This record gives sequence, C-alpha cells and structure tokens, in this order.
Amino acid sequence: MQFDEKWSFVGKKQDHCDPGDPLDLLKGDDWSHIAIDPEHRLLISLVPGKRTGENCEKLVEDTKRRTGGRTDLLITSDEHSPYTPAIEKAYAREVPRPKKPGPGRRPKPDRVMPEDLCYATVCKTRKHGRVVEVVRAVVFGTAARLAAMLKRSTVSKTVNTAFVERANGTERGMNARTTRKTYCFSKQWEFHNAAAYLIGFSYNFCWPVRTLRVPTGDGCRSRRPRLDNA
Amino acid sequence: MDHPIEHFCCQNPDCRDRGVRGQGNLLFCGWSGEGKRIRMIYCRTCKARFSERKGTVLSQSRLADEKAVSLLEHIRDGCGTRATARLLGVDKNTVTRYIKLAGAHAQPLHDEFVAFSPSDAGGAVRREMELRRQETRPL
Repeated sequence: MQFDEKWSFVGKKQDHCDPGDPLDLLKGDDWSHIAIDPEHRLLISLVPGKRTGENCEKLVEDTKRRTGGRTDLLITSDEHSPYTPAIEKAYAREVPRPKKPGPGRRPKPDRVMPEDLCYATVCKTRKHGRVVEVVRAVVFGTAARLAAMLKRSTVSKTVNTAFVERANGTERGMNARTTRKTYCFSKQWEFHNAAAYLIGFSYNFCWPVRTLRVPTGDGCRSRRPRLDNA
Repeated sequence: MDHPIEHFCCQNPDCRDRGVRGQGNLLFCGWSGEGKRIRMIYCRTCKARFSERKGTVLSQSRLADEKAVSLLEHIRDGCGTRATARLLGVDKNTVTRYIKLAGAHAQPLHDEFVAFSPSDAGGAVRREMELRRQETRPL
C-alpha cells in the first residue's frame, strides 16, 4: 500500500488567496490523498481536500475499511508527518495495563501496533531539482518484517513510492484540471472533486495499464487495475 | 447497446424489490424520448414505470447517447472543458454538467466495487516480471 498526495488548485493558488476575503475561502490549493496497491495498480482510496491531518486520517481509515481491517500490509509513504499518527490511530489496539495495588485509578491502556503491519517512509533530498539522497526509515514494524514483506512483493525489492507517483502522473495526464503547465484549472470545488472521482473511477475500470499486461500465445492481453485483476 | 431485462432493477425507493436484479418483477413496456429510442420498464411489485436510463449518467440526457459517451471519453483522456465543448459542438456548461453528473455516479460506484484483500492471493492474478536491481541503502 502506498500513500501520497497530489497537488492541484481551485480558482487560484493558495499564496494568491486573501485570508480576509470570504470568497477566497472556496479557492486555493487542493490535495488529492491517494492510496494505491502497487501490485495491482489499484486506486483503493481517494480523498480530495486540503492537506490536513484529518484528510490523512480519512484516507487511512478508508483504506483499512476497504482491506477488511487486514494488518499484514506494507505501507509506504513520503515523510508527510500526519500519516504516522493516522496509521497508529487506525490500526493500533489497546492493551490494558494491570492496576497497581493501592488507591488510584486504573492506568490508561497501552496502544500497541500489530506485529505484522509495517510502515516505512521514503525521504528524498533534492539538489537543483535532482534527487541526491534517498533515506528510507521503518516507522512501525521491524527490519526483519520489512524484509519479509519485500520478499513477498512481486513488484518491489525496496521501500518506494514509485507506483503511487506513477499513478499520479497518469492521472495528471487524464485530468486536464490537474495537468501542469497549461491554462486549465478548476473554478469550483464541486466540479473539481467530481472530475477527480470520475478520473479515479476511469483509471480503475477503463485504463489498461501497460505493465499489467499478460503475454499470451499471440501477443499480449491488456489488463485494467480493477476490472481484470479481481 | 440494448441490455436484457435481467440487468435492470427497480429504482423506486419505496419498492421492496429495489436494487435486486433477476427477480422477474420487471418487463419492458413501451418507448419514450425523441425518436422513441429509450425503453420504459414496468415493475410488477410497485407498479412503477421508469426509463431504462434511470440511475445512470444518461438519465434525463438531452444529448444523443454517442455524444454523451464521447463527451466523457474526451474528458477522461485529458481534454479540457472548453476543448471538449468545441470538438463536440456543445456548450461548455453542458460539459461541466456532465462532469458533475458522472462524478456523482463514480463516487458511489467506487465505494461499492473497490475493495482489496491483500492476503487473498487467489483473487488476484499476479504478473511475473523481471525486476531491475534497485540500489538500496541499509536501514
């Protein structure tokens, strides 16, 4: 599972918005929070909105719901800080602590992360627009567990966010409102979000992913993330 | 494309067979729309009559089916609103209206269909591929 956010804007960019102008409250930057399954290229969850911790929590909660609460996952993201508390809030279970003898109330329970869940981050350092250093860190889980998860994966041998970044690029090509270096942009939130959901649905159900194709006897059979994988 | 009656379900919120396909409660009963191209469906359970397009993006659509589908295909392939309007000969507000309609349908469909079970190896067909060796740093 890979989490990321994709920037776009509605009306005008955030720096050009006047905080005192009520009309500008409905304009500014928009971040589509995305969860993707790298093995099937499936867009699992899409949460458009501001880049806040609440939206990160929504994304993680929605992902947990759609995966049936399973915890044997390798989650990767960039170093956007709200993901760590959001994942902890969604997946941690409470373990009661024994009460000490004598007066006093019972201590608060410990929050323990599942042993089989692994969350790792990728931090890229850029210099003059080029990546010069990549630092990977395990936030939840152990290095041994991470190695086992990577061994099980059919597409990755290292912690990365390449698949969600690639999906972001594909989506930018499919949605004129989020294409960079053009004059296209959304003027209203409702249309922006509608287009985001339409493109997300189209990506899952209608978009043949080149790297998912399967060789057959007389060529290749193309596959789409949702329709041909499940 | 004409779908068989088994693909439809009653859309009446008060009907006890609402949303259930293949119950035998539906039958085609006449035509509507310009040129009488749209089939009407009758529900024996609630005695309601509705268009075969009800519950889809094409419901109450004044555009021809091909043009409406083409409009969404233009949008899906990265064509802007105004460019789509120019190419298809429709108003740009028509394009945005269809985007809003399609988005409103896409969101619940995504909620209904997209779920992923990572431990279910039998459900997914995993591709076999040759991986490039990636340079990694020790953690």
